[in-house]
Formats: sequence, structure tokens, C-alpha cells
Amino acid sequence: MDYLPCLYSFIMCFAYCYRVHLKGKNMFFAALGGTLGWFVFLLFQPLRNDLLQYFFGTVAFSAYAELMARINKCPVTGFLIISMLPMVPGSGIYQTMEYAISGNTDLFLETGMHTLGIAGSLAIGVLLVSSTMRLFVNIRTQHLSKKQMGTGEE
Amino acid sequence: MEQVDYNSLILVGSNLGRQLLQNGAEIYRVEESMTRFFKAYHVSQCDLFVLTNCINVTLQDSDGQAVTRILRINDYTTDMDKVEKLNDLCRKTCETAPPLETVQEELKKIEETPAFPYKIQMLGFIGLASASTLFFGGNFVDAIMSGIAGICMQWVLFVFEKYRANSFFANLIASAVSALVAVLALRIFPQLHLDKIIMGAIMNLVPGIAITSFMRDLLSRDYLSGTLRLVESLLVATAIALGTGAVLAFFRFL
Repeated sequence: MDYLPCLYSFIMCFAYCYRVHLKGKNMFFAALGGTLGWFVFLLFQPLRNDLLQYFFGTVAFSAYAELMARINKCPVTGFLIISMLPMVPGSGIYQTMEYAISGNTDLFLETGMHTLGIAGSLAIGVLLVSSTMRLFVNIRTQHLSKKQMGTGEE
Repeated sequence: MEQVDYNSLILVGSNLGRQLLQNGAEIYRVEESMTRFFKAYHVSQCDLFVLTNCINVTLQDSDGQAVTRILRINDYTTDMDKVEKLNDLCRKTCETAPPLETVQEELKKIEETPAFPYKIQMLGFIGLASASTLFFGGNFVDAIMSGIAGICMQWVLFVFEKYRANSFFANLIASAVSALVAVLALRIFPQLHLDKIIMGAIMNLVPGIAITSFMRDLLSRDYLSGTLRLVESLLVATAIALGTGAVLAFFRFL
């Protein structure tokens, strides 16, 4: 199996940091998240279902992003935006358009629906991890504030 | 505790919110930061309503006197560095509640932090386009061509931003230009892969930010803002498809 795309996804994500003005050591960590996501995507290739692969990849990089945000004490948004980049269906958009202009309606609809499906599995993956994380933080802060006048955390 | 002047408090607080929103923070982060900020200065009641392009805030003291401010936000950028700094400032302010002048100064300092200069951003455009082309399975010559398309794209976006064109149009033209570069490159070197070059170049425009924030807005029950961002991301995707499609169809027709 070919894992070279992982390296390319790292460069991709690192370059994207310049676009969204993420600075400092976070650039490296955020790009690593993108690599991790794609690595997990490739790891689940035996499933032969790329929507599931996208889902697992997304879960992996969102969990990583939440973890990194807590370690570095900064907003999770930047990590998520950058790590998601290799998963974003850019090729899907292109192929859909390609079938549209060549007049192949069946393939156009099929690819379009598939692209939407990819976006959907990305959404579910991120939502699942963020919601679980927020639930966990809420439970913990409530326990803390019972013991002492708790200090809220990001 | 002696109450601070609500008029200057609301100015500083809404300035904080405006900067957060302008630099690409999610709605819940803006609302939460502003609420915490006002609570740190012992405001008895504050009500906030934030959308993707406006902030409404009302502070009310214990006598029932209210101060309201509405902000309309027109320009957005995505600047995660500033969001990080603002988040940091907000946390510190909430812990110590320093005098408002110092907070205002800090805010101004953050606002004036320079973004990456044009040339370094160009590195980002080239790197993203080339690496994406390789990622989608193109070879190295494809990657170089896609890097050139990235440079052209950045220039187009820069010019359009300077003259305040709307983003739909800017994305449409930028993707058309990248397709044009790819088609011309193919005329000179026929063994290149057209699809890989264009796919790599348009990764610069793909609405990753809108997708991410729309999900997080929906998650925190800001359905209205989430829907607005969803529409935005669909529009950008449509613009990309239309721009590249138009050029490809035109050259196929020739």
C-alpha cells in the first residue's frame, strides 16, 4: 500500500497554515493532524467503503485537534480547519463538474450525491467528537464547581 | 464593588466581539467570550445576539438602565493567530479584570498585528496547489503547473479583494483562471494531466473554513448562522464548478 500521500497531505496542510494565518509551533501540530487523518483513512481501506473511511479519518483528526487545543490552550478551530483539508472533497467537486459539462447526467448525479455523502460523513465525524468532548467538559466542570467554586475552562 | 461606566465597557466588549467575528471565530465563541468579559466587570445583566455579520448587545444595570450597541460586520478574513491572541486576552481579562484602557490598548495591538506578507502567502498558495496535485496522483511537472496556477489565482483574488468585488464572483474568476492556466499548459505539454492540475489548484478555494464553522455553529444551536455558512459554502463550491466548467467547456468547443 502506498503511504506517500500522507507526506503530501502534510505539505498541503502546512502550506494552508499560511493562508489562515496560523503561526508558530501550532503550524506543525495542525499539519500533523491532517496527516493523521489521511493515514487513518488509508488504514481503513480494507473496509472498501470510502464514506466509512472518511468518517473514521475525521474522527481521528478531530480527536487529535481537541487534544492539541487543550494541551496548547488555544481554540480548536484552527486545528480543525487545517486538518480537514485533505478530506475536503475537492476532487469530487471537479469530477461532478466534469460530468456535468460532458453531458453525462447519470454519472453527474451519482458523483454529486457521493460528494455530498463525503461532506456528510465529515460533518458527522466532527460533530460526534466535538459533542462528546463538550459533554465531557461540562460534566467535569459541574463536578468541580460542586467541590469548590470552579474556574471555567475553555 | 463600584460599577464601571457601561458606555465605555460596551465599547470595549463589542470591539472584542467584532474582532473575534471578523477573524473567523465561531458564533458561540464570540458570544461566550463577550458574556465572560461583561461578567468579569460585574454587569448585572447582558443579552447578546450574534449572527455571522452582526452583533447586538445590551447591558442593563440594577436600576434598569440599558445600553445597546449594534455592530454590522462587513469584512471577514481568517486569521487564526488573532483569534488565538484574542482568546488569550479574554481569558486573562476575565481572571484579573484590569482597567478598560489597558484592555482597549491590547485589543488595538492585536488588531494591528501584521498578517503574513504577500510573498509568504504566495508560498502558501504554491505549496497548497502543488502538494494537492501530488496528493491527487499527479506527477511533478503537473505539480509545477498547478503551482503557477496558484500564483495567478492569488493575484486575481488579491485584485478582487482590493476593489471589493463579491466573493462569489472572485471565486468564479479565480477558478476560471486556474483552469485556463491548466488548459494552456496542456497545449504546450500534451502529456500532462489536466484534471490533476485543476483539482490541485482549486483546493486553494475550497470552502474548508465555511464547512468547519457551519458544523460547529449548528452544533452549538446557532441554526441561523449555521445555515448562512452552509449557503456560503455551497455558493463557493458552485462558483468553483462554474468557473472551471465554463473554461473547460469553451476549450472543448473550440
